[in-house]
Amino acid sequence: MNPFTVDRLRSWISVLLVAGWILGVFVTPCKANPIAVSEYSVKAAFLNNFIHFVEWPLSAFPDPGAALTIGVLGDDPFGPLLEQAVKEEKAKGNGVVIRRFKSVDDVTSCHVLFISRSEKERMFLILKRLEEVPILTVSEMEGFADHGGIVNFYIENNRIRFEINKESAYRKGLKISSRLLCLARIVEQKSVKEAR
Amino acid sequence: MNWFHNLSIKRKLILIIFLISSVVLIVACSAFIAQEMSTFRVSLARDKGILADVLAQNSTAAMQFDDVAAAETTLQALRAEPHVVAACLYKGNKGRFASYARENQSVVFPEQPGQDGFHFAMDHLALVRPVILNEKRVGSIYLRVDLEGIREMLRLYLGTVVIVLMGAFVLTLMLSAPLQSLISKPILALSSTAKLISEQKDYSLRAESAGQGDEVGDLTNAFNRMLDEIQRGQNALRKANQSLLIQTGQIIEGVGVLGSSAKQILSFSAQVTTAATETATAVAETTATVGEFRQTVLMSTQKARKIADESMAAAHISQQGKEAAEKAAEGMRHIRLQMDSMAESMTRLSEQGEAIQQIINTVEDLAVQSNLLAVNASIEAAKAGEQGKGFAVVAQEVKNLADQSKQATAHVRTILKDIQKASATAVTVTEQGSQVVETGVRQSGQAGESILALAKNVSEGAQAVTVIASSSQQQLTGIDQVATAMQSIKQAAEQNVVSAKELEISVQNLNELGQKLNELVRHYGEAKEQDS
Repeated sequence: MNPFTVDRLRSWISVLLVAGWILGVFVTPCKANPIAVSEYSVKAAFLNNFIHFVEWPLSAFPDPGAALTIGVLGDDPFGPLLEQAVKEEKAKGNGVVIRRFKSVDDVTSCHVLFISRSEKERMFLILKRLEEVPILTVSEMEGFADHGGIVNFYIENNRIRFEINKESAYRKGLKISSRLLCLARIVEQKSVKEAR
Repeated sequence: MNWFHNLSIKRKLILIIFLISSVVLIVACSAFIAQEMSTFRVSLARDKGILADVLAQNSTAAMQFDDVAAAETTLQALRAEPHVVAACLYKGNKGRFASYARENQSVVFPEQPGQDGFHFAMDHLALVRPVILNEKRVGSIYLRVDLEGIREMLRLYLGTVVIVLMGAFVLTLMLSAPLQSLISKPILALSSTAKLISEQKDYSLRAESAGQGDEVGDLTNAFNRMLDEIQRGQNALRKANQSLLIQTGQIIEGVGVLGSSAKQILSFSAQVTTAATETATAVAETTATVGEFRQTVLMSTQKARKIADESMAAAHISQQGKEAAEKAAEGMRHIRLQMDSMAESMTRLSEQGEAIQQIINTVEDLAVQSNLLAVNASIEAAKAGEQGKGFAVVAQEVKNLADQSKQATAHVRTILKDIQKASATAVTVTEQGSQVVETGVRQSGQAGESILALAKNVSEGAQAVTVIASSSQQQLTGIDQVATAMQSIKQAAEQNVVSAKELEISVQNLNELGQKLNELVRHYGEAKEQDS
């Protein structure tokens, strides 16, 4: 057993402990949903996985030695989970850096941006701001992909799945691997104005 | 292998050609198939490895995002690969992630993928490849492939090999039938000729040569040359035999001729011996005569000399000579008379000998009779008994006397025979003597006449007497020469006799030799007849 898998096992144990603590403290009505326990750890892993199936334009990396940046805009639902998920990625190449932004105006030199539910009110604004910027936008809000976001998580049959707006990615100059597209539900772009 | 040795060359050749071609084909096909199988296995492992890699690549996203359905959809693509029995994806170390099994197949998947690589089991190929995402291993893919493809190929190849072998077999039979005759035909022809020759003993037959320059052609030529030699030798033997027969006949004839000739020569040589003996005797006589004649001539010469020396007193002496001659003639005549009387007394002696013979016969008769008498007297004496004893003694004495007289007569008879023989010789000698005397008489007569003639002519030609004396001397010399010659002839005649005897012995040997030879040749002839 290599040390990474041991670490991963430890992280899983800690995740379970945290989940148990949450269940014990807050008696929530979604007690029967096991996904809720590991939802963000899965999403964190997914976020990390996306970078393997996406190609950014050269303009996204002005400095060849720069690390890939995963940003979280708004309230962070991951806690330490995201750091744990990218831990192995850090070890190779230029590494992966996690950055957290309060406002869309702060977002600079970022490659993957998770937009938290807390930014639901400002979704269209954010999407508008980032329309031409080569950032893989990811969220978990209904209609996100339909309105210019690229990847949007949703739950289906107790499984976390995601939808992708190919057109939006294309517009930003991002190339998404067909292997990833195979797993996703493809959505069409809806007019921003119509959505308003 | 015994049956193989008894096969004909033709069958052997076909069998050998067929065996060799079959072995070559089988070995070549086996090597080809083995090579193909090995290549096929390697390429199968490589192809399925590539397939596994492609599947792994296509499954990375599904694996990363835990999308089992998507992964299984990807694996469903294996439906197009009929030989892939089962496939399975393993995510990290967490065991099976997604799996695929061909319809109607229940597959027990291993809990862990195991080592990367491939291994061939009895009925399948198991293959494990890593699933790599961005140079990082994220899982493994396991693929199980059945070996129907290899079996199918093997069946196909075996079928092809069987067809090729059958085709090659037919082709070998078709080709070897005319090709083997290239070698077997001349050998078979040679063998049948040899068999024919040994059966018929006909050495004038020849093996047909196909004009080949190879070993079989050489063999045929050598065989024919050998037959030439045998035939030549046989002819020579036959000729020699015939000439030997002829020669034997000639020898038998010759030996016969030799035998008869030897016999003739033998009798002839006996005659020669007799003749030679006779000649020798005659020559001895002649020599003696010549000696006597010489003596006479010597005397006449001496006389002639005396006449010459004493020419003047020749008249007187001639007168005396005449008288002497007459006296000589008279003496001769006297000798002749004496000879005649001697002959007469010889005759008488002979007659007396016959008389003595008669007397001896008589005495013999007497002796026989006295013997008889003595025997009778002894018988009588025996009858008289004791009184006749003295008489018996007398009778015995008489018998002894008779025996003695018988012995004496025999002795006398022998003596008489000697006397008769001696008297016969004496007669012969006397006859010869009378002849010599005759000659002497004649010569003395002639001498007397000569003396008379000389006496008449002494006064007229003393010189003639001298001539006579010298010629007489010459005559003496001539007689001496004759005497010497006669001596030589005598020696020669004696040698002749010896030679004739030797010749006789030689001829005797020759005769014996001829008989032996005859016997020998007869034996040879008999042996020859038995042989033939």
